Amino acid sequence: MLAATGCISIMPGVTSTLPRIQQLSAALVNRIAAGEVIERPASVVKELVENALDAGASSILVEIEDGGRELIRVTDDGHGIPAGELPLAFAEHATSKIATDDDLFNISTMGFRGEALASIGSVAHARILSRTADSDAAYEILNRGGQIADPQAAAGNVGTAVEVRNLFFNVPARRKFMKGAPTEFGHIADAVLRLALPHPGVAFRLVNNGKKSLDLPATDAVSRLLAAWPEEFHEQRLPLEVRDAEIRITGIVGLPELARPTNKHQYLYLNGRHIRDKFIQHALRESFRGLTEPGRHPAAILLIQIPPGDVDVNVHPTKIEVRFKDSGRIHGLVLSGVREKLLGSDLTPSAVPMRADNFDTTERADVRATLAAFFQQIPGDLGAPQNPAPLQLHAQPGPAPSLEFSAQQASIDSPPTTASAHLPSLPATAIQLHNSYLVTETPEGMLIIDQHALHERIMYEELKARITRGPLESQRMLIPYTVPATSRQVALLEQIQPLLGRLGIEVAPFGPDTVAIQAFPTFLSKLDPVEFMTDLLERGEQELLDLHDEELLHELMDMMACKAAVKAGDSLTPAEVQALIARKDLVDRSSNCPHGRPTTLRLSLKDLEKQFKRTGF
Amino acid sequence: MKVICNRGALLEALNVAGTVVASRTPKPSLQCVKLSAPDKSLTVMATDLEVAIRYIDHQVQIDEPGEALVPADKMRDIVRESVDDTLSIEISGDNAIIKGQDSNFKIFTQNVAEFPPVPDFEGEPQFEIAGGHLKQLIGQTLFAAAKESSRYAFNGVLVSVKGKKISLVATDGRRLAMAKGDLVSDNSGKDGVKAIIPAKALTLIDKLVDDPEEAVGFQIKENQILVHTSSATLTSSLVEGQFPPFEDVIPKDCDKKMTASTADFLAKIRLASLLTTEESKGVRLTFTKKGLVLSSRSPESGEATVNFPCKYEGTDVEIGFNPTFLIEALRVVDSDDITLELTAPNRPGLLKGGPDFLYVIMPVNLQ
Repeated sequence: MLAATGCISIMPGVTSTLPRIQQLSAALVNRIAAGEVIERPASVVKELVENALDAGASSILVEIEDGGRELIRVTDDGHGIPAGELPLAFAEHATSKIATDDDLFNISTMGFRGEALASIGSVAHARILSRTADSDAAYEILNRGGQIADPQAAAGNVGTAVEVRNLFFNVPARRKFMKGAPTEFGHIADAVLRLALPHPGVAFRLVNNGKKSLDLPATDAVSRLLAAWPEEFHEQRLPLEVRDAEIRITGIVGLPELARPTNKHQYLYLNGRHIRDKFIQHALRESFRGLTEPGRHPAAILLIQIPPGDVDVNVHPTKIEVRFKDSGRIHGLVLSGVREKLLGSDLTPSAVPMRADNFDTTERADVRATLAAFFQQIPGDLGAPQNPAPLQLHAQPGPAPSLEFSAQQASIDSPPTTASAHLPSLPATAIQLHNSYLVTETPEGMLIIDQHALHERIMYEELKARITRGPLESQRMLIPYTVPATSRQVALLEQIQPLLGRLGIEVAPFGPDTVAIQAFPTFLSKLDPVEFMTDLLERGEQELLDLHDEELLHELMDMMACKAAVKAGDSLTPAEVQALIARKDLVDRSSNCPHGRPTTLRLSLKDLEKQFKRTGF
Repeated sequence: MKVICNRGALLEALNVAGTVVASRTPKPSLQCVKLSAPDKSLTVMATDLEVAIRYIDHQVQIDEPGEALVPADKMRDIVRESVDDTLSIEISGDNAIIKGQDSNFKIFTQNVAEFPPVPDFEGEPQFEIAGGHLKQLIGQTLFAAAKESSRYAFNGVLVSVKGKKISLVATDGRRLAMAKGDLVSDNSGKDGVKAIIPAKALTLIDKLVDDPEEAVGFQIKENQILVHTSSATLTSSLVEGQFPPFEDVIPKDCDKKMTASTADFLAKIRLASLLTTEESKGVRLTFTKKGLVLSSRSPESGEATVNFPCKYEGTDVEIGFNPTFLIEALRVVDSDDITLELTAPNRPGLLKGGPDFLYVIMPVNLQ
């Protein structure tokens, strides 16, 4: 009915000016295609830098003016384009990267569709200046929104420079939707960084309105990856390398401590191409399960190498999404690889926030700047500096002064000890503070342990190991405990009955609005079963109903471990303290409680010396 | 007030009263004992508002009658550490002066009027039981009561009196102990009386009785119990709440039965329980025609197997028990032999030691 009335109201209008079907012009086709590939200035940068990489560049310079509105120029020192092929560069579906059908399924270059330059050319004023190694001169070609001029000889170095001006001059809708220059430049910087990470051998420079914004000299793989993370993350990382017969995954993962509410510190690469993939993100999250708080995304940069034939990158015009032949295999490899790495590593975070160092640096820079300004005003020898410029530079926020930079470089080169796989052997003594925390000496400094969190993790891991051997031992009740329950709660209990059985809890409906606890695990004998069940039912109603079995089991074991563990405020005898600390090394994931909060903080002698100002600046 | 006391007898009185004095209370008066010397004897009184005690010390000489409220711990420390045979206590103003041969203490007292009234045993007892017998019945049941259960009735022992017989029943919901005995006298009428007595009060009653022959008198009122021995009167509030219908949980259809020496069974259980831990408490009992094999296994410590040849009638069965529950019961059995009757691995076991003691124990589901 509704549809019919809708038709009637529209029909007259349609019949009056019936549009005719017609073939679109090539230029219009390109402009439509450009809409898919070229969303904003950052897309242009991405396409051009990818071309530069495909051209075998060892150094790429990206220059931006006015957020890309005014100018985008990408200059490389790659193999260049022969003068004769220049006109084809702007033609649609013209590429040097693939030639046959087979090539399409064995793509090893960044681009292959032959769309980028054509698309860019159709929505902007583009100019290519290129020179091959064996050519005496460079040639340039211009494209003004699809009007391609003939190549002209010009002056230039070996390599290619592509200049894009007046982006979207003929697509007002796009131009209107462009954000302010800082936002667009932000996207561009992100794009350049993403492209730079998997190519450590290529130097990247990004210049914004004449100012250097990113300078990444050619370096080793790990140092390049770290460029993506804030400096305080650098020490808290684990190197990763896993492989099976054909797939190889390398990269770095951050300690659980670095997990953040968004996944902005996560970068995934497939054969050198930045991708987004829900499966891999899920595998990462799963591998950190129990180590990070819920809803947090671990920091990780993964470079996945896979035979080109096993993946279809031709799913999305910007190639951000790909389709794996066997996504389960990738998922499994990431999950097991990262999980094993985490299990084999000491994940204890530092008690001193790394940010303190940064703060110091900027503060010292301020101090120096102030001093410099002060000295400048003093007449005489000190007061007339020959070259005040370097001092000015120091005073600027942004790139760290060269002194710090070299120190930072050194720390990257030698893998930090915190992240290495060796576990510190715990000494025999520990003291309890405020009946809540244990402090113990290590060769490197000291550990501060949250007794409840650590005990909870130990109980959890023991429980987990125990239930693989069969249901938990449980004491049957002579006189069952009765607990009031709503019908919704009774339904929940019925749903989770098999899981509860594995955990040694037997519950059965017992009259209206009541359930009876028939058996309760012996290791929880100190707990009041009624209190436990009431908690379970209340939480269950809110949170547990929609969980998968695996998650539910985790939640239930977590609840048990939490309730069975010593609490903050419980006084422990020295023997109990010893036992607790001795068990720390025997269980997996002892650095975090099952909720993901840390159990242990590390305060190294180095940190202490810094805090007490025993080491100079 | 001025009295001269035998130090030993006074210390005994203060020790008994001291068990009742509230350890943590905002009211200073409750941290005191009340001394009262009306004529020929000295009464020491203490209360924590749930349990109250009056202990009468006859080994005194009253020079001047009176009463006073004295801090319990200070008073007891002085009496304990002194070496004299007699001590004199004199109240003068706000001070109590305690004198020995070479010592002189002045301690500050509290206002007597602030002390709550401590009831005395008046009239005839409802029933009486021989001291030694009472201690036995308490010992056979009290251990099975819950310690701090949210099911309040489980924190006490149900005492039922009818037709010159008494029974005590205690349970923590996992096991149940019941002991029966005879009374010396019973004036409770044909309906008898029933009350749940808090574990704390029973522990004190057990301590108060030292002569197995003396008749201990009981009065059970609406929400109070009074117990009278030759030297003391104890008052306690009763546990409110419904004791579970325990008769229903005593199994009556057991078709399997082990008979064994109490001491031997206890020794074997203790041996088999050595490797159990906080997390793996259960001991597996495997009954066959050849007798019993006890075994335990814990992932932390290892495995144990103990053979116990004994008389067993019925089909083979395997059942898990918390050994502590068995050990606690076997310790209080006063007969040479016990029987353990069973039906199925998930149903309760019934342990009997003589005609007057029975114990129901729920099994453990082993891993």
